[in-house]
Amino acid sequence: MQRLIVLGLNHTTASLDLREKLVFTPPQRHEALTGLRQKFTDCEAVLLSTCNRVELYVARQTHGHPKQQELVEFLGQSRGLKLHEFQSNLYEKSERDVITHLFSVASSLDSMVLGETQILGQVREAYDAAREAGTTGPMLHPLFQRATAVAKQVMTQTSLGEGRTSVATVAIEYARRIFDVFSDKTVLSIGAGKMSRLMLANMAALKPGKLLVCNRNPTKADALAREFGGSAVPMENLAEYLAASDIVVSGTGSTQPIITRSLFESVMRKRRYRPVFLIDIAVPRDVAADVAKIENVYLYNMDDLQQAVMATRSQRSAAVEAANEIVDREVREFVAWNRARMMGPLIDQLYQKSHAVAREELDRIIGKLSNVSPQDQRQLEDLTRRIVNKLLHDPVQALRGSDPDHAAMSQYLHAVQQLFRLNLEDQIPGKTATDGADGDPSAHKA
Amino acid sequence: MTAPMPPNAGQFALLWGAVALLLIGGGISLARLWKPNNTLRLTAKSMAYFAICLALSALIWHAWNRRSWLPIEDNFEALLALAVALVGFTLYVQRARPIPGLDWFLMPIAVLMLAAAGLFGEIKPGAYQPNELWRLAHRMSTFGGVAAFGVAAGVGTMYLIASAKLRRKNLVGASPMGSLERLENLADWALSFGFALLTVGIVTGLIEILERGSKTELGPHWMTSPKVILAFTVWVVYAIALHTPITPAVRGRKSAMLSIVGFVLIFATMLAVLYMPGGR
Repeated sequence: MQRLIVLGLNHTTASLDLREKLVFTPPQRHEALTGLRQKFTDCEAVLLSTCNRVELYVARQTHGHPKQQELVEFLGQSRGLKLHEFQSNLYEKSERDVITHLFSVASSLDSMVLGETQILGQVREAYDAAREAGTTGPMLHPLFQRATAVAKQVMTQTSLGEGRTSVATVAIEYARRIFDVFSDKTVLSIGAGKMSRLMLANMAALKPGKLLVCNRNPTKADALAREFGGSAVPMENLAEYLAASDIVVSGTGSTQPIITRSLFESVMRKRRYRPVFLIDIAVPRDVAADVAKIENVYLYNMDDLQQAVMATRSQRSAAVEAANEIVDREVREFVAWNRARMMGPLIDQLYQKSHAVAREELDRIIGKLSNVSPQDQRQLEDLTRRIVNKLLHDPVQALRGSDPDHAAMSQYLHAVQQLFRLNLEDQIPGKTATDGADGDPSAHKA
Repeated sequence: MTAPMPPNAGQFALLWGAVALLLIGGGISLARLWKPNNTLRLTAKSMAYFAICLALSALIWHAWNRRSWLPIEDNFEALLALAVALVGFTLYVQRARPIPGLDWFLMPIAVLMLAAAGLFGEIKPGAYQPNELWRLAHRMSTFGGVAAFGVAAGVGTMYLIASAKLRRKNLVGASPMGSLERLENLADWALSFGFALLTVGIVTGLIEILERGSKTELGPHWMTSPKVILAFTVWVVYAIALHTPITPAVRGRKSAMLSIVGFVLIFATMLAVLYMPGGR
């Protein structure tokens, strides 16, 4: 019987310093996995190493090796660390908790930034590396494949992946809802402060056709423009540049609005009423509020953007709840599938062995009896078969109906295996599978 | 000229089957507003494909019975062909470069056309006899124009909703409907295409009237017939909606509203053609 464990640390249990010391590069990971396999030939292992976490997933025989302490020592030796340096930062999970943990990790529910998709790629990469190193098998193959599928499900069926968590990213989201193509658009920044810089950094990611910076201080304007491959323009010609710009970020220190309705009406006429996105990040405001009333002008100030951020965060808590529901459901299904996968061969062998013993005893007693007619012999065979079936019925039913939350399934199976001296080494389906296709729980579900 | 032949019960059954599938698919697609789900999306999409198959089967069956393959010879097949073209266009856009929610706005127009085919097809079968080049050009261009204006109206509605959401500064909630720029481009394209076809339709209709004088179905007072008045009004509405290069103030929301008004009028024109005295 196989036991599933994970040992690791992440951004909530270890400092960046420690995480940096424990991180594995791809070659180091390959070396570590092959080393682990050489030392513990029966185990399966996947090593997930990112900037935020290092986790070692292992499947081993119930009373086999490596034990937890052996894994801790292995991690320390692999990275040249002493146990006291990191042991207290480690967490260990087993059986069902491992499945829940992996599904949550892959779905970014355990990430520093909720909804980030990078972790899914890293989980896949870790799985591929383990496959290359030959350290995956009938337990970790289906587990990691299912984890990938669950993460995709979470991303497509919840709004967790809608990454709007800051004022700048909200502004980008608005821009995407107004414009389709950015390569023919012009972004104008009025002001060259910190916030303007942050906004420009995000806007530059949209790869606009032109990026202009307008500031009273030409040196600052020039420095900021050069940072993002744009050009500085003089403040005196603001109206002209406003007419040429599709996205305007304004963040000056002016105490009076620098963009008034009358100014912008003339700007819109010059623009032939093409839509314009105005982002006013200045406090007090740079853009008069009534500018928003002009047709095809979409004006957002700091309050609007912050409210969108807040609304997004409250929406996210609902998304997290929905994502957790998906993870819980998938964990239940995976556990059920795994139980069936492991229990079937064991129960089969239990029946086969019991019937073989009964048959042996029956043959022995028939040999001793005289005048047993063929009809009597059939009756005796029926009798022994029924006795065996009835005797096994209750324990088998108890085994099938055992509560996986009450005790680890592998413990039940191990107990049965030991009590009846069963040997399943060659009978677990997919034991020799290398691609995991036989063990895909999604295939079982279909 | 082919003999008028009303659609039979089997063809009607196929048509109403397509309507039912589009309605169920639409309901399933709308359910995604509350529960975003890929299975729902695929189910709705499959329903639309099945609906197209049913409608096409009805169209082909009807054409086979008539031994004529130009689908503009009676109300039934003309409206059916329009609806198929509209559903096909929607599925094509959603496959090539999807606009979230486009089907919510275009499929109801297709359903409307199919329902009209079911109702008017039975009432006035064999309405058209395209035995002359002008008449043929007239029918094809006006029907094509209606389909294009249907797209423009649907996309225009989407534009108005998307724009209102942006003005309310509402980022949270249902999925976005594509950017305003994309919607405007698609509506402009459909309007230009529809306007060109409508212009050809009006000119060829006028040539037909001038050639045949009072012998046309419109009679001697053709200039005051509802069909001619409505058709001209629709043309003016679309001309205004499309003349943004001259007066750019009519763009965005105003243009979207005009697209909707134009489509309502063109639908009224169709009703006039089918029902009102001297409408044809």
